[in-house]
Amino acid sequence: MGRNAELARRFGAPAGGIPVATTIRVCWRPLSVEGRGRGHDRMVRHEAPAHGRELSGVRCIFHGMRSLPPGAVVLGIALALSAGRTAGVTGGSGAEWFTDGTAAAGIDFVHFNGMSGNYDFAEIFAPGVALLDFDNDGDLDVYFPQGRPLDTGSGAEEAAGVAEEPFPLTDRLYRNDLVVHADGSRTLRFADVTAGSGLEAPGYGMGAATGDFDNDGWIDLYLTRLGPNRMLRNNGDGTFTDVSRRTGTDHARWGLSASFLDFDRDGWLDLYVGNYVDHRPGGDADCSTPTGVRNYCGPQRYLPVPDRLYRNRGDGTFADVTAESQIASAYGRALGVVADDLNGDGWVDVYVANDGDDNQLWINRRDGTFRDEALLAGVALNHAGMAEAGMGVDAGDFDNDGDADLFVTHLDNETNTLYVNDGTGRFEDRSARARLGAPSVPFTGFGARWFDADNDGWLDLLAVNGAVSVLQPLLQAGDPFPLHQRNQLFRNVGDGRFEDAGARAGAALRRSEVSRGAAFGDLDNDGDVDVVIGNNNGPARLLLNEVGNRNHWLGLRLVGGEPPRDMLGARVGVFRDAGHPVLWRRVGSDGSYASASDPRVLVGLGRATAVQRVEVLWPGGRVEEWTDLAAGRWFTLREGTGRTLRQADH
Amino acid sequence: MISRSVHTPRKPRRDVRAVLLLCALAAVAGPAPDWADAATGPLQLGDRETEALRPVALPAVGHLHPAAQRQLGEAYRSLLAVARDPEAAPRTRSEAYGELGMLFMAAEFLQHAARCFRNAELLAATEFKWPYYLAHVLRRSGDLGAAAERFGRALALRRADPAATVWLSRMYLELGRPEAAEPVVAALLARRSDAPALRVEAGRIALAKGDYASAAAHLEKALALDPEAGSIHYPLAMAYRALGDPDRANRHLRRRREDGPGADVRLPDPLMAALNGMLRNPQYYRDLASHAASGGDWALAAAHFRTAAGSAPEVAMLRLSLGIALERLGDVRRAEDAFDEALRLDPRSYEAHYALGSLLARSGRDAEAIDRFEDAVAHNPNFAAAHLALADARRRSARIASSLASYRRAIELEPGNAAARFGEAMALVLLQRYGEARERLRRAAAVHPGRTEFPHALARLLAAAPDDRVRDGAQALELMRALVVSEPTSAVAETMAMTLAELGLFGEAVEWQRAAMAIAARAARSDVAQRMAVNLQSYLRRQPCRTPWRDGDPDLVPGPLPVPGREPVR
Repeated sequence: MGRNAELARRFGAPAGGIPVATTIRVCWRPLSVEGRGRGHDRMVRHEAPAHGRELSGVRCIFHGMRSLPPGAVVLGIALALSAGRTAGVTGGSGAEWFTDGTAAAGIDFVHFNGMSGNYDFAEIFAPGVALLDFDNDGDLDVYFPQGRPLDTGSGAEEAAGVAEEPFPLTDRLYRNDLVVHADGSRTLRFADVTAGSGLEAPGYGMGAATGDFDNDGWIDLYLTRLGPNRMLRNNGDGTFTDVSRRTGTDHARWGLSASFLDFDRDGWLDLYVGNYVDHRPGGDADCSTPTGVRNYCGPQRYLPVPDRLYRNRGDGTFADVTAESQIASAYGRALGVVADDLNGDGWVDVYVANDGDDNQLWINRRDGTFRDEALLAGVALNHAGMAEAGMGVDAGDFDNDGDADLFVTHLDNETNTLYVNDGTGRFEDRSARARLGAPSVPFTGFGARWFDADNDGWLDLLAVNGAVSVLQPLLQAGDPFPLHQRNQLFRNVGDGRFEDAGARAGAALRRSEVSRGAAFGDLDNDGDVDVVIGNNNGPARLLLNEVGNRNHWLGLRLVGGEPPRDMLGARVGVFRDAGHPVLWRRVGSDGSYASASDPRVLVGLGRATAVQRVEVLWPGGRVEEWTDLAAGRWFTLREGTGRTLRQADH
Repeated sequence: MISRSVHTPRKPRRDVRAVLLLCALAAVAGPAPDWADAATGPLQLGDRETEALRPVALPAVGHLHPAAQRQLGEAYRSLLAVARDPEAAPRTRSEAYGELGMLFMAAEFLQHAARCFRNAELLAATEFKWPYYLAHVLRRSGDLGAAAERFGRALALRRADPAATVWLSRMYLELGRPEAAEPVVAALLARRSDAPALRVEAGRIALAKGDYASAAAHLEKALALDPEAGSIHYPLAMAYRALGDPDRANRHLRRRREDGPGADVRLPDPLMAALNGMLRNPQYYRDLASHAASGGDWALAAAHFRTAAGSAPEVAMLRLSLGIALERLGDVRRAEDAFDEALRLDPRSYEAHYALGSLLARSGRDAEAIDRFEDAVAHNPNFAAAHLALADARRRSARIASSLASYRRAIELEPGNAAARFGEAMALVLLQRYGEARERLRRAAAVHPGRTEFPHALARLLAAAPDDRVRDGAQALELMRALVVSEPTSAVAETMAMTLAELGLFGEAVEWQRAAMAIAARAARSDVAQRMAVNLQSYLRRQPCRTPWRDGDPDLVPGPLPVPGREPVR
């Protein structure tokens, strides 16, 4: 397939209708237009046929690398040039584990990072992704945070108007209009329902966390931003109301990953917010490569800022308990956050992956305070005692021994790290032994999550990658945005080791892009985990799982309360036939990077066709079991309706 | 695809022509990259086992700093000259390739560097440094297996090289092969038992193998050999943890927590060190300066920042960094000039405003400092350190009400900032809002359970606040019982005296006050002891204290930060 036709096919334009030479749209707004300084008065608009919002594959050209004068405000928007970066995205051949369903499903979100040529540090960290069933219709909808011009001090705000065409620079919400046909086949379609939804949040979007903070049965959104974060209350009618100020969760730091958790077991979701650094757009020093080429600065250039912990008062407001809980006693440049019971005491803890600083493991002391035990637990540093550039993180029982293990993605020339839990909250760095370290050395990983890609009963890993400083070979090749890298799928082979499954993962997953957030969930409710990836300054990707249906599975939604809500923090054990290990999985939408995943639990059963029983440890401490759950179906388990094995132990 | 390239010929005459032809073509067509996919995966060397030299291209360098362009161009021309010389010995040609490879490596042109080193290696098969460099190139590009193979080849040429030994071991460890690393390190350790880096490596191998006793033994020896290598504490703690010795584990973790990451163990590596000085441009000097600064050599740091600033006069951050280095050297005047220049270049630089404000505050020029701090927070309202510095400067300048607002903003931004919480409470004391001060101190004591200044100040308020509604002698005594044990200072003794006097125990109060004065006198602070005499007289007259802090008490009037705080130095 030729380049033009490929572009056209991928972005819904008429075949052969977009000559590449005319697709580049450079909007170069002069500072002098607004009387704010010097600059160039030039604007080049693309001459391609207007496709309105269907012209979805747009992205910024990475200007400023070579010839643009300092201070010039450059907003480059062009058709995605990534067609040449992959072996070709073809439909599901049956052999590929994931296929690209983005365009077919109607996802046309394109992230705009606001680059102006000034190498603003903030422009390379978004976007995350959120999967949430905002309309309670039983399928996952998708939210994306959007960027905006960053260099406010040099006139880019005014230039924003240029970039708002052909699509508005706003966060986007896509409603899942999944159709299940009579024969069981499915058509996955999304509709953009942003308009009127209340998601037109001000500021520069970074990521999101999801949870029903007011226990009204409708899942709410917490949006991390460059600047004040936003709490959006789901009104239950397709709209959201910004309750940031009223809830007291609108602190003005640069947040990325956040997590809803019930740390005090009072039945109301509290909120942990990971904050990164103190950075003001437009105030960057110019950093450069060893050869003097302009580059993004590293995180050490900026001071870290404390994370936040908000306790839900149960009246629609939160108390900032950052200080009282001791969370402020240690902090680094937080990028990844995951909440889980990591020491097996039944109380949810918090693990924070920091960029270049010691990580924190906040052990819940059950009295409203936490203590950082990362050093003794062995999860603050890597095996060599070095702090690494932690990005994304997740907790999951990859070895099926009943406890939560941690995986953290890192910068290139470091290794991603696997911390294996011994069941008591002590961890060992087994990255090398698991064969997860060396393959990650060339890549900068961001979003990542434990998920059973092939439903064989062993949790696999997907790490989405993209550099944070210019890659010399790409720069040399004249690449306009020389940060892109391919993503990596690691298959758990069941003996504590992983294999790089990139070859069989499919071209869609190997596509070289600047990936950041990744959210995981069964978008078409067919019993396997699909993935949505947020790409910096590029189109989002929807990767459809084509392999999970080769094995058996069990889908569980764990709810409690009235009206029911997802019980984040619950743990579920699936007991199969003798000879198969018990599969313990967590209920959580957090983890990965700046993203929120499906809170439901999809358990791959492998060849096991039967489930003997399911045991649920509810966040409040109650333990219940269910039997007679058939494989190959989704079930909703409601707290208080199973056979109680143990009461809550408050 | 045409690239500006050269390869060393087997048949010199014909290959020189080929080189000239390639150069001519390159001059017309310009460079074109042929490694576009390299960044998306491990570097590929191609047929690295074949004996033929591989073409070496000069990459497009037009976008590089002029100094880097010049250096790369000169090195490339040197290679061309050697390649054109039919009489050049293989070793000479090897050196030419290798030296260009080093420059490429320093410039992060890894593919080009790999080709150069490979050619150099082929031309001088017994030379250690080329496979060694090539191994590092492969390591940097992510191909750890190939890197291990090359480190092994280098080590075969120089069996006693510690750096090659350690790097080979590290590659094996990253590849999950500790059993392969073990004999490599053990062989050299048998001859160089006093090499800390080898000891550390042996410890890491033992950790990876689960032999924790051996790991602890090796790492303890390494720490004894190189006590400055703070990075050893963590793996050592992990070894003791696995051995079930939490006391020792915690001892080393405490060191790690208190001292920070610490230095890595000494590993002499002259070949890699030689790369550091190869590229001469502002970034090079900036890196050198940052390195010197992190090592505490501020004179060298200032010299390098000055050089860097001279070659990039438009970069405000370099002036700021220079100013910080100069101030640390004690050259306040030049430091101020550098900060001024940074602000001239970038008036929005909140860090420069803050640095200059801090300098002015340390020079006793609080009025000017306040202006700078105000500008800093205006340009970055989230700059907690500047809010705190502004609050302190305002408090010193008797602008108490406005200082209170700044403290509160600092606390809002950094809820764990103890200095801001203490300052807020003291500002409330100065405003005679004793009840609020008491509550703030109570909260601060809960937030910072390990710090004594809060219960101490709280006890003073409870013992001696002029507001009757605030005092509570019994509570004060409860707080003081713990403090007199943990903090036997003159100030604590004086607070104990205040407390006892509040409880009507004037005899004991006199004893504690005398003890406080004696401690001060022993510390050669007779001035303090003298001021304490006022309270002593009160207690002798059976009168309680109603001035918890005297005018000018350091708790009430904070000094400026003694040294630049947490400004990032690049």
